[in-house]
Amino acid sequence: MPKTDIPDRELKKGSTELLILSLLDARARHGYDIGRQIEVKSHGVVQLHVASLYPLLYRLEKRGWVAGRWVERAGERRRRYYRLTPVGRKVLAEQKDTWRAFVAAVNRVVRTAHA
Amino acid sequence: MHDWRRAVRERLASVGLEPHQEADVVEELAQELEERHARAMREGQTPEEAAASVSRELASDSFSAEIRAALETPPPGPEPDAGLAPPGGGLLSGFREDLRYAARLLVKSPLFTLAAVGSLGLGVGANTTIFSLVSEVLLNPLPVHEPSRLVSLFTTDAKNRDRFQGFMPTSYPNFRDYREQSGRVFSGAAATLFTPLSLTSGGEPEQVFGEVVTGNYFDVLGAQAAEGRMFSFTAAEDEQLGAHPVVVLSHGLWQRRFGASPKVVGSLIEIDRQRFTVVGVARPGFRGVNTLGGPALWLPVSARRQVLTGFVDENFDNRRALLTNIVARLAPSVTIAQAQAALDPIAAALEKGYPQDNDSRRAALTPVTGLNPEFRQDMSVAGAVLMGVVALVLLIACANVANLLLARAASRRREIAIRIALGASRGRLIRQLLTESTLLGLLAGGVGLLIARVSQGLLWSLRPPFLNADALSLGMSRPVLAFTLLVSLFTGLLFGLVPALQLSRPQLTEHLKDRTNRPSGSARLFAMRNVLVMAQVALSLVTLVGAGLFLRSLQNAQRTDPGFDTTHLLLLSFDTGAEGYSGEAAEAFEGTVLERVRALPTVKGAVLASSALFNGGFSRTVFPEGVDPNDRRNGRLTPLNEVSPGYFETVGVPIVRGRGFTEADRASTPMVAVVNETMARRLWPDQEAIGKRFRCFGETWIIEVVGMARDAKYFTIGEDAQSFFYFPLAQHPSAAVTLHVRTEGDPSTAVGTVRGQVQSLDARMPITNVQTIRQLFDQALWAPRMAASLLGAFGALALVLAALGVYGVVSYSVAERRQEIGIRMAMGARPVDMLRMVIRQTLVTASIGAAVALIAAYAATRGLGNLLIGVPAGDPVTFGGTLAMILAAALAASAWPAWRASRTDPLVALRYD
Repeated sequence: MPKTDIPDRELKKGSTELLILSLLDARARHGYDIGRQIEVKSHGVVQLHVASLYPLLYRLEKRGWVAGRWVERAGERRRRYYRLTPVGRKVLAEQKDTWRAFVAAVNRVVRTAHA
Repeated sequence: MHDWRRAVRERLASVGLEPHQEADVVEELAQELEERHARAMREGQTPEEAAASVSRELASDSFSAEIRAALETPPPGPEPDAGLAPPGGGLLSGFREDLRYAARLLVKSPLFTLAAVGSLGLGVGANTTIFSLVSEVLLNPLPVHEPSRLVSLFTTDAKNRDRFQGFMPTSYPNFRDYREQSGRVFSGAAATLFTPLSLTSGGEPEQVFGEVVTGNYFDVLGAQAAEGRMFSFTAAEDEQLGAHPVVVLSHGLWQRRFGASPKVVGSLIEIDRQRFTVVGVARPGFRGVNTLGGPALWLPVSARRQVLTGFVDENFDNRRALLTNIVARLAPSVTIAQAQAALDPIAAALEKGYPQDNDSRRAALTPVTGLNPEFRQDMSVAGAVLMGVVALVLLIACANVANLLLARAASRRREIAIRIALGASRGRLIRQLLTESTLLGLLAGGVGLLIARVSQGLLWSLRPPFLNADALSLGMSRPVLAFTLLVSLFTGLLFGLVPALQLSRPQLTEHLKDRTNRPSGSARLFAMRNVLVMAQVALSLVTLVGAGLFLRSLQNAQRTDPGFDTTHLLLLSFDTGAEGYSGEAAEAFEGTVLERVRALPTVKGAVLASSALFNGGFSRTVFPEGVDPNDRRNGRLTPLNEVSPGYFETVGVPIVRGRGFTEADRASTPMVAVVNETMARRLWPDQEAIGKRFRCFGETWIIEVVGMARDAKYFTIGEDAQSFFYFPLAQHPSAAVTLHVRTEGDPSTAVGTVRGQVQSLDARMPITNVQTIRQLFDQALWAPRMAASLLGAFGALALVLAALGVYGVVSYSVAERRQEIGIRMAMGARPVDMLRMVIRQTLVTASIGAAVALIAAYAATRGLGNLLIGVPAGDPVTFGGTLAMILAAALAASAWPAWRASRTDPLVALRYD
């Protein structure tokens, strides 16, 4: 699958939020980890620039969907970890629903277009 | 080792974050970059290559802006809009997509679209119709050259300050003095006079209105000919009586009567039995300085002796006779104030030089107007009332559509939620929603134009009887189209904004959730939908109060006793003077007509009068015996009618005291008069009027009062009691007379035979204004009838729209609350309780709207005083009746949904959704 820049910014921004929230569902992660995971799990289709990732994280944090916290571990320098808040969890559930509905809708359209 | 902290700090310099916040961001981002750098090298890049690729990570143009937006003090509510415009797009980008999307949506829900476009279309149509009238009558500049440089000159009289006497015409001799002496301020001044003419060329004899104008009239207006030329004469040539028998035809007359043949130019036509050469045809639309209706043709003032008759002919050169209308063109760079200043000393000198004629009379300039300034004032009030009312109707329609949109919003929440979840900003959504409502507004504008096209015809059919069908051209002029476009756009925004704001509020959590535990919005009293209902009730109540007041006014007018018989009279007019009869021949002709008509089997009586009922009459200055009749300042200007013997009995005006006229009142016998009660009371208060004597200005004879007639209405139904008197026609012959025929049965059946009798004597005699008294009476009611019809129609429209709105909101709220209702009924509420609950809530909402409206209506109707007949502006009957009607309509509108609510099956309702 070739790398694509999803052209619709709205779509990308919305879906990126969904990606971040999904990644944080299981465990707290720091920023680099988030970007890396997205890249790996999407097999390189989605790559986030620093300049897009962090503003988005801060935005989610401000909305109260994620919470960031500096964590120090022995032998490591401190890092900022992000976890999902209860509100974020709810939003994630909704966005997943919405996303499924959207994808299903897109699929239906695409299928009928080729039928 | 690369200093990533510095790189980040540099990028953040312009953002202006709090120091501790910046430190956090720098630390976090630097870590990230460092790790990316390390990874790039692990993947085989040189340190330089890796540093370059990592640096690019920060290079995004919007980076600082996005960081700033993300970290700024959080505003409560919606997120700031970062994704409003797609890359490279301005405000308009995506507009076409919005439009296409909106169009698709409208096509997808045709019922909604139909309802919205229909009700808005009615509103816009009403606005366009009324605006086209207002614009034509009040706003349109006259179709002449540079109308803004034209002024009207009126005579004012400090002693005659009654209504419609503030701005009067000017006597021809005074006009000539003004024209001669005001040379510097005017580049030209012209006088005009309307007169009925009998046209015998080009078809059946016909009475037309012509304008007798000074030779410079067309030059002053800058009017051009469509065919031939317009005439032009000097002031000196104007006084060469009969030397210039020429005529200019109006474009309308030329088309209608002469088949638009160019050959007419240069030919002779017969007007009032005189021959005139047609020198030209005016351009289409040219009607001189007349807003409402123009003349059929123009004659030079030098032809006045040939075409004017009776009083006007005799008094044309009388300095006191205010007969001509004056229009003047300001000289270049002269202002109207400067011109007025130049006229004042001339007027003062004219008053001094002719104290008898010009006592307390002055000249007043106004910007040129085709209407009497005072009539214009009334028209402006009427126009404002109508515009206000149609605006209310439109607002009601807007509220309806806003309601429809709100209701539809419920079904669109999911779509909107998806769009928000996908990152659509609020601004973007609002724009999309407003595009939809604007599109609706424009569609409604189109429908409105079609509706206006039809209703303009209806409106024009209500026009006052003194206007010909072609007096105005109501149409889709450019200002009207522009107005409609503006109104459509404005309404689109107006009714779209509230739902758009509400719908785009990003309450994902609420809209994506199951609906069962959502508070039922419309249960709250001041929920948006209920507020819209209150507004609709309020607006329609104001509209209906207006309609009610004018309906009551019409009712009063119809009940008014005009003071004469209103059932069995037939009227028709003819003019022996126009047909060349004079003196004894005319009298003989009239006598024979009376004889023949009286001999008809169904005719009970026939009389002649110089003025028809409701057409008033000329006024004379009257001096009761005992005051100096040479000093006009002692006189009173009083209208009169000249009537033949038997007039009072035939027309049904009772003689209260004394006697009416008989065959014995001849030219050779002493002059007599019958006065009305008001005149008797004013001239001889507390005295017996019979036997009193008076004089008319300029006459040597003295007149004895032989009878007193009951007061009647002489000009309009609404007029106050006024002085009026009658002369015997035999002592004051008139060439133009109206035959009043009293019939046994329906007067309209006698039209043919009576007309035949007149024309059997002279086939060429044009007979005009054939009317039954009923028609005449109805016509006299045109103003209250027009007001009542228009406002009644708009009131009905408002009521229907508001009722539909109430119905829509109540049914929607019942549907939304099904579950609650089901639970209540499961808990033991009876159907009738539910019925009551729904109706009570509707009535409470409606009553709040009505209460506000009553106050507003009371304030708004204050200014209507002059337009109402016998109804106080705060008329309790109207207000009470309207209130009852509104509440009844609200009740009726909520009855069906309430009944449905009461039939809710608790089980079904609980399973619902």
